[in-house]
Amino acid sequence: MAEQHPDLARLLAAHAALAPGRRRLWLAGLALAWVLVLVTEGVARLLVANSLVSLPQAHVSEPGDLLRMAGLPRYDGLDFPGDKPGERPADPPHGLLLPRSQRAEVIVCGASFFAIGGAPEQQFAGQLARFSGRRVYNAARFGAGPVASLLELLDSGVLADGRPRTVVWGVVQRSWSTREMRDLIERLGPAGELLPARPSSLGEVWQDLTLASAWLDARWTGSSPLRGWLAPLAPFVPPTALDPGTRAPARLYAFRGQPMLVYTSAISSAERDLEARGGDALVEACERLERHLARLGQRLIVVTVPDKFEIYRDRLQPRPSSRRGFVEPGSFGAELTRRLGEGGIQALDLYPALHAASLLEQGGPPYWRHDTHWAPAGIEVAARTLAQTLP
Amino acid sequence: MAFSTYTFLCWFLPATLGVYALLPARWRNAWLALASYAFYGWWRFDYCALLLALTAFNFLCGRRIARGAARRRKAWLQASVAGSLALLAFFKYGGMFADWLDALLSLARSDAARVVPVLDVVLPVGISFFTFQALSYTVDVYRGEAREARSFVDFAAYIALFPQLVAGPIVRYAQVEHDLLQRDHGSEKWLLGARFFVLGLAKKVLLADTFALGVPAAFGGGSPGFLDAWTGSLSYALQLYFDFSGYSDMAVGLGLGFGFRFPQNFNSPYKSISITDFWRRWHLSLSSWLRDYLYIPLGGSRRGPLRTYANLFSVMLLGGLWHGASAMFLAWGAWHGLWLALERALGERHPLQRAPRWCGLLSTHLLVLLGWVAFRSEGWGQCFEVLRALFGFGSTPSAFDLRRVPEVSLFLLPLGYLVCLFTPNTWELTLDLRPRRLVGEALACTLALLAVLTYRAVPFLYFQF
Repeated sequence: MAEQHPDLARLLAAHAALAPGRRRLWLAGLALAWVLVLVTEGVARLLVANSLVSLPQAHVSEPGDLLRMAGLPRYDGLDFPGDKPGERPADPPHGLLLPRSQRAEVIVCGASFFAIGGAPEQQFAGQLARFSGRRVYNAARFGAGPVASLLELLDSGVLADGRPRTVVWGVVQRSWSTREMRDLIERLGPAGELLPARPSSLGEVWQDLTLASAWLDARWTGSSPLRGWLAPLAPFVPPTALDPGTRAPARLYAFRGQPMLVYTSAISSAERDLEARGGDALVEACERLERHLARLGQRLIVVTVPDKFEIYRDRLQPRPSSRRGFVEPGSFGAELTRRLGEGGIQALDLYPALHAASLLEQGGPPYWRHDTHWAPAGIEVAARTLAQTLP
Repeated sequence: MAFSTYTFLCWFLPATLGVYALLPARWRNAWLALASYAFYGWWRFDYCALLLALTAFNFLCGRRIARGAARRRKAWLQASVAGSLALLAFFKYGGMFADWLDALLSLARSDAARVVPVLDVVLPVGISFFTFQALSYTVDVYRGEAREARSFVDFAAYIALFPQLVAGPIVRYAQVEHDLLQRDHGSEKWLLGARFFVLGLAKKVLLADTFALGVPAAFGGGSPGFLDAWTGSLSYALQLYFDFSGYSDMAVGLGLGFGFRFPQNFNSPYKSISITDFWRRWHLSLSSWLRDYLYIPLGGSRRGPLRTYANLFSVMLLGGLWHGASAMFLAWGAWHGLWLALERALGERHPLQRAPRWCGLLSTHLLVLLGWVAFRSEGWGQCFEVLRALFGFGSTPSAFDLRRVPEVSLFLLPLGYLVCLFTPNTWELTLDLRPRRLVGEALACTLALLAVLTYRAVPFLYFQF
């Protein structure tokens, strides 16, 4: 019945015509590759068995694997009620912002750092109200970045009622890049006028391409199978995985012998000074924002929150490789604050306060170990620092 | 158990092959059947009974067809077809029918309570494949194209043959009848089988699983932008091809390891220059099955042009439905049926007939790609969302936002298309016996195994059908 498989018959005939020695050599070659891989895998497993944080197996790279392997909870057990996924109350619908914010003297908006904290009085805004004695409204939303949160506030028209307030815009250090801030840069005109959300154009492709290198750097870890193949090196290189909560790529270091999760975007962020992040455009965007708010009779304070990596990076094990060319710890926030100050914008860099808190640890560590966000002690320190500078 | 898992590659395959090689010839089919049931039972043990029942039923029908009186033969064939299709319908389409019935009944009622209970059965993996194989047996025996199986063990080994049990190719009984009874195991078969398996594994693990990363850009929910939609759709087209053809290559390779010769399932489908051409290159075992057991019995092209178009359309519609109980699969089948009928109707007058080859290549691929969008979408909403974004009318303002697009896809999509369009396929590659091929294949083998061992497993797409 060979005629039913004409192609296979042809292939088989060609292989049968091969000299038996060559046939055996070929088979042996494939078998050798097979055995080599299995031996390598065995050796790698032995190595990983003696690794820094004892990982039960070598397969690092599945979302959530890292924490699961290390047997860690997502938060450190000191959990804020209401911050666990599933327990968090639903975000308020857009319109609900209005009545409470109209009475507020200070409006806080920004990244998830400002949205978390459990009950409202435990959140950053609540602590700020406690230390400053002002009425503070929290317009930050979990899951929305600093720009989305800010634009939501600007678009809502809440600020246009002529009532003078202070708008605190909090941005985590790693979000200070023209890529992250692109939406804001596009929406503000030179005189601070709010431009309508623009439909995309081909010009954006070019902009995307020019920003591609920074972006690739931040995102290469985590999603590529190439990274997965490096997993057997886990004892020597901190393993990479996706944080199960935010699906952001993360690494596991050790701090005082205990595991500490660090976002890879925070690591690559520590390599870029203000210039490398497109500093002029960032400063210009902040100036336009300030002009926009000034026209509405509002006052802007820009707050920079250092990444956990920035605070702890000199104390992590294994030492993050110095070949990566990190900038001086804390220098980015200081530089940004100085540049914004020259432009007449009030800015606050939280690095000194949080770094001091990480050394003293009064009331606990300022950041969660297994999460990227700040812990209750960090929120308190930050709110107290800001309260002192409120006009 | 998928082929690209540690358990299969390091334990199941070596053990099965080793015992197989040691056994005398007369025990080998029994061992294959046993191993295949173990392979299937690894997923769900209780569904082995289902497989066994289907096997026994069709074995019985085949025996009656072969030995029964002339007038009873047709009745037994009908019983076999009805029984097998009923099984398929219950497991695959039961839920859909129950929903439809409930919707129909609720038209006459005012309250929203459900009358027909929700039919929530787990779809047996590969049921579409092994039901069609069983059907091919009774039909082939009825038509006289194959003799009845020598023994129940042989037949059980044929239906459950693990290399192709869960995701094809659909091997017809007539195609392996000879090998089931008697087959040789020369080292040329081993070598060719190993090469097929390695190339298939590399296609699956290195290519398909990498392209899988780009698919959520379009189909991961939300409103995709222009670039998201294109990256996601192109990635899916490549993932589906490398995944399914990789699996088919591995099946052919494993089959050769056990002495079987399986048919070719893919012949560089993305090199096709028309939809008609595409169906001569894509999932050949299904398209030829549909042709021989559905299109030709319906009258094929012998009953006038209109009937031909209707036949083409309805066969493709059923081919779509074969993939699953979903309106999207039906839409996909209808889309291809429409173009097949149109191309048949145009014939020589086809406008692309005289155009350069790349015009046909491009237009065909665009049509196929649009089909895949429907194929992959979870519902009409998502389908239209992605289609709109593909044509630049997406509902999201940031059409060229790259944030959802994984960087690997950007680098590898062009590479994937180069491989699809300009390199020989597995069946052509294995014809090359120069020594440097060995180095390439050993390298592919090493990389693929490393990826299996260290990277998360992505299930084979065609397991769900």
